[in-house]
Amino acid sequence: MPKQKTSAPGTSHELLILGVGEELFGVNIESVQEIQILKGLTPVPGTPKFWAGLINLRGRLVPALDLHSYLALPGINGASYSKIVVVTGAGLTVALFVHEVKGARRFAKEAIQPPVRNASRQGVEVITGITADLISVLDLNALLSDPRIAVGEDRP
Amino acid sequence: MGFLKNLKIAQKLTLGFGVVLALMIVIGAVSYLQLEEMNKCLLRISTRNINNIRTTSDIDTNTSDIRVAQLAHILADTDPEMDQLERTIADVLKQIDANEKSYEQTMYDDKEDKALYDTYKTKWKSYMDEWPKIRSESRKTPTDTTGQASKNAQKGMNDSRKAFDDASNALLDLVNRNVKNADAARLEGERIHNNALTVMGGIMLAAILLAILIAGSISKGIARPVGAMSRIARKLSEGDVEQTVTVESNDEAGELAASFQNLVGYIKGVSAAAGAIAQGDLNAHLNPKSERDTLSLSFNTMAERLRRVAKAEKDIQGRIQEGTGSISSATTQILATVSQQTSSAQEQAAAVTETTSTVEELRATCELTARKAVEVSTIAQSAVQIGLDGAQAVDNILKGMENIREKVEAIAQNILTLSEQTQQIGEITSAVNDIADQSNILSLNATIEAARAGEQGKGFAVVAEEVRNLAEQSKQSTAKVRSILGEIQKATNAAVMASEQGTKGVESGMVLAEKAGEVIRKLGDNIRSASQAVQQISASANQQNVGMDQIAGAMREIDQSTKQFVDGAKELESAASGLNRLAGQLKSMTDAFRNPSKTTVQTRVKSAPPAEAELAETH
Repeated sequence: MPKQKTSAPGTSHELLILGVGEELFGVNIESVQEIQILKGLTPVPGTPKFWAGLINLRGRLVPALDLHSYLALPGINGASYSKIVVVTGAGLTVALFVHEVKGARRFAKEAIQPPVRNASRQGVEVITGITADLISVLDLNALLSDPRIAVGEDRP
Repeated sequence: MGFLKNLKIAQKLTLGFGVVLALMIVIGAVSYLQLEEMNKCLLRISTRNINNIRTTSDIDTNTSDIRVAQLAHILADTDPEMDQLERTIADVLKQIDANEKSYEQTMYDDKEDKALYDTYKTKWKSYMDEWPKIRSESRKTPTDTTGQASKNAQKGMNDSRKAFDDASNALLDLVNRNVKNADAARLEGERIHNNALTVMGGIMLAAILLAILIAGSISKGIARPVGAMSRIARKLSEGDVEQTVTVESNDEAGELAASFQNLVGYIKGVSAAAGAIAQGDLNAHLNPKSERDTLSLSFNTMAERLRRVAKAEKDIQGRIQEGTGSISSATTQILATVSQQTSSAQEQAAAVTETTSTVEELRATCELTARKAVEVSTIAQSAVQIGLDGAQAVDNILKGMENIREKVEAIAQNILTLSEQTQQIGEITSAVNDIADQSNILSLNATIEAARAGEQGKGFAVVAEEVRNLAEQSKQSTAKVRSILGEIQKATNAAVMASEQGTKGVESGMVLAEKAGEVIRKLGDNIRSASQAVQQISASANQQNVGMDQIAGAMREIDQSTKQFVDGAKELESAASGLNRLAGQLKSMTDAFRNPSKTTVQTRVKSAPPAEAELAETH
């Protein structure tokens, strides 16, 4: 799958809006492969906490990432996730645990502001902006490039 | 009348009555003589004068009859008539003869009378001598046709008329003379009567005066000394013995006066001796006038006894003194006790009166109780009815409860069915929701695919967006349905719970209603027995009422009796105080006896009657 780059200024982005707990995150829709109902999760021992387990996606094993845990968000735990969003980035394909998918929205480049510095230390690197209606724009390439991610999964 | 003093009373009486008797004999003799004289006059009038008048008058009438018969004879036409008339004439002549004989027996030996009678005799004889000739002429008249015989006869009658008138006049003169004689005899009789009245009146007046004189003299002679002695005797009877009899008479009154004087002296002696004893000189003594002088003898014996009694009296006085002291204290005590008793009786009377009024109130209360008992009985009867109604109502409630229970059970069943159906709807809704989810995901994937397709996928993106919206709407609808179903579920659960509770409530209500029915039945039984008890109470109250009436009557009687007892106690109190006074008087009397020199016998005698009077009052 080709590597996605951030859009150039003056252009617009189409973001898929994901709901994780109270937070809303926007991901580049071109990075998204598919959306599925969460089922058949197999926990993998000895992995970091944010790795929820493995999911059999039509015969292909995909690691499931608990964004909530990864970003150390306050509030609910990840037990009530109902859907997964399969994304690709940095040569990796992962399934993100989400509560809901709000649909796709197109944003102008000017509508996305830089993220608040003090928001979250761990998440600063992967959050590249925030919209007027408080949707955090998630950089999947940055996320999947995080060294913590790499735990020895299969690489495509 | 001085000589009367020397006569005895019997002689005085004999003399007086003798004089009166003599006067009466004189009056009787004079009366007899006068009556004899009057009788003669009456006899003369009745036997001679009246007979003379009658006979001469009869003769006159007879002569007239004969003349009438003769005239009829002349006028008669038949022989039988003439025979009849002749027989009549003969009868009348016989009557004339009888009357003449009667008159001649009683006629007076008087010249004029005799001359008149002779005139009548001669004239009548000459008249009757003419008659045979006239009769023979008259006899001829029936056969005589000439009428000469009748004329002759009439002439004969006319001729004889003179002799007839003379005889008749002589007879009338005789009658008149005899009437005069009778008047004279009557006047004589009246004269004799008046004389007799005068003489007898005078004699009787004299006799009455004489009798009064004698009676006054005799009665005066007897009554004066007796009256004097009577006065003296009365004074003696009053106790005044200082009397002197002063009657100077030689008769029995004088002797009586002398004896009376002796009696006065005797009484004076006895009185003086008694006075001496009264003054305390018990040694008085009387000399008996004779052996039969029992008064003197008795008086001496009495004085002797008195001397002995006087000795004994001093002992007795002491005892009487003690006795009177005891009586006085006892009567004082009695008086105190009686006063106490009186006050107690008055208190008792007040208490009895109070009790009587209380009994009256109690009786009124009893009557009220009886009335209330009747009212309560009525109420109890209606309560019994109400209890029966209540039992009926409870039965109805039980039936209604059973009904409700069945209904509630049916409702519960229906709700259960509803719940199951809701469950099914929920399942269907879940399926729809899943489909919506999947549709949503499909639409999102389609959107992703459209985005990947770039410009060519823009139209598809719109369709995917629409599909996503539809899926979203389906999901929202299912969410709504689910929430509604949840509410229905909750409601059905609540309804099930409520119906179960309702069933339980109905069951417990039925139990309670049965209990209530039981209670009402028991209550009815109790009320019935209470009603019977109330009727018994009513009967008892009536009996009690009767009893209270009797008690009230008894209390009234007790009240009456107590009042009478109080009156009696008051009387007893006054009697006791009278007795107390009497005891005091008795004490003073005995004190007087102890010191006889201080008081006289007279005062002792006078003090006795009031005490007796008080004794009489106390009973």
